[in-house]
Amino acid sequence: MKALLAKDYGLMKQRGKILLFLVLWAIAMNLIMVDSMFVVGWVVMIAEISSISTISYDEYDNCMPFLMSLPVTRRDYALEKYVFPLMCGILFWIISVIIVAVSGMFTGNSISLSTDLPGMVLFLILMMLIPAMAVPPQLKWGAEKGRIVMFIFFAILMVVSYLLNYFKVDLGETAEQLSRYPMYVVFLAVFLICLVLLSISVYLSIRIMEKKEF
Amino acid sequence: MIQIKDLRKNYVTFQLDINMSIPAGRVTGLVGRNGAGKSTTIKAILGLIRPDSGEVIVLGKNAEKLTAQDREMIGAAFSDSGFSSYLKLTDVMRILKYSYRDFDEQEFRKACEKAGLPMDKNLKEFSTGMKARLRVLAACSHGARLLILDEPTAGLDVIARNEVLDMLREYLARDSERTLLISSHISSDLEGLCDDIYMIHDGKVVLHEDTDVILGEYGVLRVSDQVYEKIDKKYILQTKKESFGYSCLTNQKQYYAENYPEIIIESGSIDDLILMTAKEA
Repeated sequence: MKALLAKDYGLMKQRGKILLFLVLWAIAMNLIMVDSMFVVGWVVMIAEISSISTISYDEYDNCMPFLMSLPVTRRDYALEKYVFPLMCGILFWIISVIIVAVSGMFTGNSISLSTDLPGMVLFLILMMLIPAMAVPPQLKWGAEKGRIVMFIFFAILMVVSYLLNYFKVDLGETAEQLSRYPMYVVFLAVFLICLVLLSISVYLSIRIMEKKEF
Repeated sequence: MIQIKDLRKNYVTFQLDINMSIPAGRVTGLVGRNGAGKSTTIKAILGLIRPDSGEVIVLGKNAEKLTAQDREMIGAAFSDSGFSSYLKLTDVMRILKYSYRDFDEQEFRKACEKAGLPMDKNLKEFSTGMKARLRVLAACSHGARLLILDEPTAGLDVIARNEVLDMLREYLARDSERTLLISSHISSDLEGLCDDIYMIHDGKVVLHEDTDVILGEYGVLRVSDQVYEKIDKKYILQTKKESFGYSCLTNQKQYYAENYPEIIIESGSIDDLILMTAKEA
């Protein structure tokens, strides 16, 4: 696993300019008063998606037969494709929170520990779902087809959201009911739901890798 | 070290059906035309493909059940697969360091310098020869007991090929228990390196012989139609119709030299084996 993390770190360094741009963009957005919650969410999302793209790099040079001949198991490979994006997500969450906090001091739009930070933490929890959705299809069908499957999934979510709106299903009421619970209970519930979905995704990815031939 | 028992793997247009045994300390060559099944055999040994039936035992274990610890004893290199070309040699060293407990960083660094491999360039800027040298150096970097190399000299000129082969000779000379399985379709690479040769054709082993025997006792007879009719054919392995008559592959060239002194006999080589088998097909 450590060797695979080192490999993906090496590959991500190649995207250093993009990631630097991401940080500068976050600073710029925050300085022109874009919602700090949006900035944090966006930065973490891009960082995670970029780190998942290491699957494309492994495919691009037909690296898989060689990688699977190293002292790593197929299970290690599948797990690493979650660990690396989540580590990147956490790192860039910390960086972006620091950026919005520091730039907030200059713009007078400082973040509040009680109102802004919980939302940002919620973003971080929800970001677990990015590798959960993206990794299994990319391992199963390859990076290119896997991305198409992911877009189809997002499209389905949008259609469902549109239909809920069309049939006037009131989600506000549910949100209101949730707000009656203490915040930590809601967070814990969201975290557990995300963790279950992530676990299902990890299980599927390990099964996909164990069945694969190279 | 490697035992392949009745390995079968079916593809739509190809079927692999192999038996093979490679003891420890042996240098074994795998030859055959492109598409003969060499790479598929190597992938089965490394547990990268699942046999439809049969068994592949490597280091005393089923190849599919090799653990990460077992794999530390194996060094592998492929002609068409390796480290991502977006990595640098410093990244490669870090990966090898975290992969193998016996990875010798100092020695690897020295070997890379000797082989003219720059540390600070992306691998995509390396020439074909540099990439090939890196693949072999990486496979030899951690004291593996078993080296499995699939076409490590493919696409290289004669100088680059010799450099890669010298690296292998040096590695094998350090410990007589080290085992090497190397595939190639360049016979001269194998003639000077291997103790024995497996020849694969259409997914089957068509010949297994010591290299010395191939070079010393095999030969190709060039005979006219009339001579072909009258010669004893009990030591003829393959026959091919030619414009002048027949080419016949034999494993007893001395027999024909003594009994038919008028026949033209060319000394055997692995190339002859490949050519004659291919012609028969």
